[in-house]
Amino acid sequence: MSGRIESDDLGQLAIMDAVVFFAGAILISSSILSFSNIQPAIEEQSDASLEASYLLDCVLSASIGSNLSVDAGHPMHLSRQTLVRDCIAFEGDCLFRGVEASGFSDLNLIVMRMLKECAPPSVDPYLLIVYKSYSEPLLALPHIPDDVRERIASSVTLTLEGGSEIMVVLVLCPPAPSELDEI
Amino acid sequence: MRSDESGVAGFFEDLPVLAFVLCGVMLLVSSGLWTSVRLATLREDEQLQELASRSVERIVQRIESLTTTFETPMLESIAQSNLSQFVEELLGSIHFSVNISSPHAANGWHMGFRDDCSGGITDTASASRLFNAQDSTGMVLVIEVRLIVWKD
Repeated sequence: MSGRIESDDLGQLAIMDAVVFFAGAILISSSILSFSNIQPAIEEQSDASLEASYLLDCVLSASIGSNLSVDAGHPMHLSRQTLVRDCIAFEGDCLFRGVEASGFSDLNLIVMRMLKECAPPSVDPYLLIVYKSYSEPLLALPHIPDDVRERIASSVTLTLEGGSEIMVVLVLCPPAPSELDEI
Repeated sequence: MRSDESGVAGFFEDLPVLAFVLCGVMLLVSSGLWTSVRLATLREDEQLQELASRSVERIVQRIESLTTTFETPMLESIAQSNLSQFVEELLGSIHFSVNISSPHAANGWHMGFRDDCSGGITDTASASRLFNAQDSTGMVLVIEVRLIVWKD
């Protein structure tokens, strides 16, 4: 009997099996860990959509907050208690009749300031006024950048005095990358 | 006494096998444990977030139910209503802080209250909701109710 310890081919097979088991364990572990990192994206999306709806409804139902004059072909005074909804409906009607949007610049500034201050800080608000029978918006405050991937929108239909309708659309987008770089 | 040389050889050859198998088992067990702990924490966070969202809805419903003659509730009636007691009853043992303000007004803060908690904080969640209210001059404002809840 020699004192040499002999290697066994069965031992080599066993270590191969163990390596395969270990590789399988790594694979299963990584899939378990990646499963635990899945975020509930759908729920967040519906929450954000609801938030946009509340924001638009509340801002439209609020007063403009300061007395101002608009140029609707003729100077017109709006008191601070006037609701944003009524002002937007009036503006939409005037724009459809061909009045210049510059006459409503003060009103638009107030509405956009309200939207920005009431919107969550992680998004930028954009407001569109669309005459219901036209696809092109009468007014876009400001223009929505083309490179925005994620958009959440909500809309409200306002009926004008003549019975025609305009649609007010609020779009919430994350800030553009250039703005984030500045921060 | 006879020594079993092939037995000794088998033992040493099986050590790397044993090491691989043990490492594999430990990897599976540790990732399983970590995932279950993480999922349990996520579930707790979700429950707290759900509670915050539901509670802020109830607070706004309570405020909107204060209106009698006006379409929108008055700021004065919100200040006079016993909202802190309502929120205490609503949340039970969960700690809270409520802030009611108008984000777009110059002097926008209206009221705030919280429970008396001095302990540490483990989980937190927050929710906010917008609604309209009227001030004494007849202006309709956008009001935000922000609720923060936490466990100690």
